[in-house]
Parts: sequence; C-alpha cells; structure tokens
Amino acid sequence: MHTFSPVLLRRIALPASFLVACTTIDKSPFEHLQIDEVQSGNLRFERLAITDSIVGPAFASIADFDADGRLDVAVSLFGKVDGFQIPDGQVLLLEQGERWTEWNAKPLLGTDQHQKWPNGSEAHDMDQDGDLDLIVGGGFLTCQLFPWTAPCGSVFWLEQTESDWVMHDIVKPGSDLFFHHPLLLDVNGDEREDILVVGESFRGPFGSQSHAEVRVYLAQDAPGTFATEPTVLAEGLGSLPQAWDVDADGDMDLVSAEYFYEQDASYVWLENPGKNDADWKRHVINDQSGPAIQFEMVPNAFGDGIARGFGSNHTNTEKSNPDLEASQLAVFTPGEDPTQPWDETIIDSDFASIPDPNSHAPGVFGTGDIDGDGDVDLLLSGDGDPVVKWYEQTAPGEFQVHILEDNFPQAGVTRIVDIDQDGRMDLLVTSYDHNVLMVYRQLDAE
Amino acid sequence: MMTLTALALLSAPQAHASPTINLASVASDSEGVTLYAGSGAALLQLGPLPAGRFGVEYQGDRLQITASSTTYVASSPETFNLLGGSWALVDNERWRFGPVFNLAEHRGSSPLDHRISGRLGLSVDTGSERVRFDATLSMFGFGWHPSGDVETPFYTLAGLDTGVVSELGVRKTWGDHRARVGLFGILPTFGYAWDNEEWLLRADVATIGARSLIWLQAGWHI
Repeated sequence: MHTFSPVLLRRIALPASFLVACTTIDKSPFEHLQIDEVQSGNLRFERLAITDSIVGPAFASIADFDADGRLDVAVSLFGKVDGFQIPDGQVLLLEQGERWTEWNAKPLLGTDQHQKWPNGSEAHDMDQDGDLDLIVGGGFLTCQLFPWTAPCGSVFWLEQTESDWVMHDIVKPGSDLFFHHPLLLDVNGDEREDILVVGESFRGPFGSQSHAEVRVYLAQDAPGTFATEPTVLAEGLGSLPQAWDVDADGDMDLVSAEYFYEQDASYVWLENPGKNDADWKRHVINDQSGPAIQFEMVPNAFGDGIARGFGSNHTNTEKSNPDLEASQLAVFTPGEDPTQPWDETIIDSDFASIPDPNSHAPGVFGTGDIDGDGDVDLLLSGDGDPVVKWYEQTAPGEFQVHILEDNFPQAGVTRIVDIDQDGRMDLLVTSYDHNVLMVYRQLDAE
Repeated sequence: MMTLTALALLSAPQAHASPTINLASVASDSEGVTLYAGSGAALLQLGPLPAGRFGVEYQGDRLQITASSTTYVASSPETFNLLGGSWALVDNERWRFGPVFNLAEHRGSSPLDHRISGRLGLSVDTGSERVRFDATLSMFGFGWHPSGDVETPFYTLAGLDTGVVSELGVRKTWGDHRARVGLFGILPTFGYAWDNEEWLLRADVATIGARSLIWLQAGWHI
C-alpha cells in the first residue's frame, strides 16, 4: 500500500504524474507457491500460498473439473477497486497437478467478459454432457455504492467444452438485484433441476432499496436451457441458501441467514408447500442475532442423530455507531415443532471487527471432520476481524477454538476437504486483502 | 466509502476562467474562449490515480459554456466527459445569478460503467471586485446507463447523488493572482490561479482525510 508522504505528494503534483506508477493493491505479502509449516491446536499443516493471478479472491468451488481423479479449485476473483468503477471479475480454474503443490491456472471467465463481482459457484453438469460445468452468481452492493457503475447483478453458467469454457447468461449483467450462490434444485417436481438463487438489494444512499427474494429459473426441455423469466417463490432469505428438509416431510425446504431483507430476522427457513401454486411459508429460526451471513444445517452434528444449524452473524461492535448484537458463531437446535424459534447455543462471541463501518464479523464457515476423530468441526472466517479460526468438537456440542491465522483480513472460501486425497482433511482459505488462496495440507499430528 | 463515493462524483475538475473546480457557474473572472490542459491525480486510500485532461470554455456577458475530457489511468482507464453551462439572469457588479446545467459522462471498462448524468441547479456570485462568494447548487438530476442490459437504465438521481455535486467558495483577487477556498461537495478545497488575460496557470487541491484530488493546469485565452 502507498502511504501519503510529502515525497509522494510532490511526485504526484508534478505534471509528470502521468508516469507515476499506479497502486500495488494486486500484490500479495506471500510469494507464489511459498510453503510454510503452521500449527494450530494439535494439528500441523503445510501451508501453500497460491498468489499468481489471484487478485481479490472470495469464493471457490472444489471439484474434479478435468476428470483426472484430482480435485481442482475454481476461484472467483473480484479484482480490486483502484478507481471510480467496480472492476470486472474473473473465475480462475486451478487444476491440481500430480502433486498437491502443483497447480495449473486456467481462466474460465476473463475480465473481457464483463461480469462484475463473481460470487459463489456450484460445480454441476448443467447440460448433462458428462462433464462438470460451473454456475455462478454475480454482483454486490458495491455496484450500488459506486454511482458510475450500474447495478451489476448477474447469474451465468460456464459450459465446459473440449476446447474452452463458454458463458451462458441466466440473468444478464445489470440486474438491480445481486446474486451470491445459485443452487440446483427440482422445485416443480418435473425431475429436472432448476436454478434457485436469492436476489438481494441494499438500502443505499443512491436510491437502492433493501430487498431479498427467492427466484427460480425453471429448467426447460433441452439440457442446459432455463426459463428467461424467474418464478419468485417468496421474499426473504440471504446470500447463501441451503436446501434442507427441515420438517422431514420428504421435500426440500430452504434455510438461510438473512442480511439485506431487513425484517429483523437473523436465520429463517422457508417451508416447501409441496404444490406449485402455493406459497412457501416463512419461519423464523432466530431473530436475536442481528444481520447474519450464513446458516448451514449439518446432519448428526453432535453425534446424537439430530440435524442442527450453525449460524454466523455479521455485525460490527467496534465502529462509531456499533451494532447492538455481538458478533458470534452459534448452533441452533430445532424443537419438536421446527416452525417455532430454535434453541440457540453460542459457540464463540470473541470477535472484534476493525472499526471500518463497512467491515463486519464473523464471516463464512465450512463444516467437516478436520481432526479426523469422527465428529463435526468448523472452519470460520473472521471476515472484518482478520482472524481465521477452527473449532474442534471435543465432546458432543463442546467446541475448543483454535487460531489458524491471526492476520488474514476478509477471508473467504473456508472449505474443509481432502485436497490431496491422503485420508486427512485439508483446509482452503482465501484472503481478499492479501490476494492469496491458501491450501493447508494436514500433516501427521505430533 | 461515502468519501470515496463523493470523490467519485467530483473527480473531473475544471480549470478555466471560472473560479469553480468542477461545475458550471455564473461567476466569471474573464471573458472569451479559453483552451486548457493539465495533469493531476486522485489520491485514493489505495494509491494515486494519475490523470490528464483538456477542455475548452466560453464565457460571454451572461452565457458560459464549458466542456472537458479527463482520463484517469487505473487498472482500466476511466474517462469523464463534462459539458456544463450557465446563464446569468441577474448580471450586475454586485450580483450574478442564474440557472446552471451540468452533464457528466463516465466511460469505464465495461458497458455497465457507462453513465450519463445530468444535473440542473442554480448559481450565484456576489461580492466586491476583490472578494467574492460563489455557489453552485445542484437541485435535480437524472442518471442514464445507455449501454449494456441494465435493468433500470434511466432514473432520477437520489438526493445525495444530486446535492453532493455542489460548490461553495470565497475568492480573493489581487493583480493577476486569485486564491479561493471552498467546498467541493464535502471536500474542502484550496485553489490558486495566475491569469494575465492571455495565459492562465492554475493549481487546485481538494482533500478529505487520505483522499485528495490535485490538479495543475494551464490555459490559453484565445
């Protein structure tokens, strides 16, 4: 980062300022393919930094895209705002080589395709031709805050062909709503998977209004084709919905955190009516946690056969006009009637976002058996609190927190996956600020 | 974020015989046609953005027209094209007052970054020969995204988007020299100009916190 020094000021003030180098915001403090050993709790990791071509990473999908038997990573890159507009984003495919330290980068989506802020993605064979494609949601409130850039919401999928990746629009860039993570779900029972995605809007100073709605783009007869106009299932939900049969009636409901809907709920679920012409009914899981970023149902979370929901809210208690709700990670247990508020147990409320009013904590998380002891652990981004933590379930429902990184601002991805297929879970985390994708390969415990 | 937003709205300063930094104004310090060019930079929190610009201005008894083009060298170049005008309904030694319009076009990396905005407002200039106060207030505006598949391409500007594009200033003139302090939206500004009726040299700074605009420009009165 540049600092505002008198020397710099003099250089810039001269007419020769045209020649002054621009920003270094695309640089990383880590060397590309730098490997360090880190310890967190009782676990040891080899930490591999992937920085080449990584600028402003946030989301990733992990799958064997090239069908070589090894997992690959499709990482969404926002780029960095260095002017008065929102940069065009990219999706980069990192194909794993024969060793876990070998990654070959291939652009799936280039900046010349003008998709701003590509968000979460889902690997799926969209056109049923036998290979994996990628469906991506796009846009964010940033476009609503930069007046020279139009609202930039979009949904698109990238078709894997023999020679290239071909982009198909579902929602062309320029939607007033932004979209974070599309799901594939057969909503209308025609045995074709439809695209389900939540569209959101931010109440901003330039006239945009707070809103969220659940949209479905129904699959058409030809594989890979979808309705051009959405069916709106209901208002509400948030960026990262999950399909889950909450009421165990045999059909998929939807659970989610809520942030932009501004109806004073933190975590909610929508009950699938089971009929196409009926409304999806909204139920509040919790309305005491403030605006929230993620809610994820986990089967048998404590080993007692009960599915529970983990939730991370997204607040800032350190800014000049602080949020009232503590930043926290919690677990929610449904009662006999899941339409009533669920029991909340706080796992961790030790977060301190930086005072910037645009920063909030904590962020997204992943679940999985990190330490290989047969239960569910969590990996969490502090987001506005520049920390990455993992939570070791030491006894049913008891979690011990471990710091993985203490200076990793705006971390994302937080995936728990056996990336090198050696039987031990590894971790993947990005830092938007540090322009890096970190792969933590787990070593034998000491 | 709001500071950056305000800076973004104000990021194409003028340099001409009018004392204002960005907006058309009924204030006039010399008449005729002025060609001008210059270099500057926007100092943002993430680093400097060098920029270059050129423009032309006409000032008559009551009518003022100004046009300019400014390009910032970011990771993707961005260009602001401005066209503004004013008409002094009241024109005497003590007071000048009348309507103003300002059109601003932004062209960036993609069709979504193409916006044309227009603002209508009022401008006033008053004071003595040596010390004068000027104000240009935007009161109504529209925005238009003419390119791409923008869902709402034409819209009325929100109050902030309109109102922040306003200017206030107090200037003092002595000989060929002129100094002005003011507000450029929410940014405090300081400017100095040397104007000998043939040539114009001008320096302007608008700054708030770690974000600033700096301009050095030269003009030629034709």
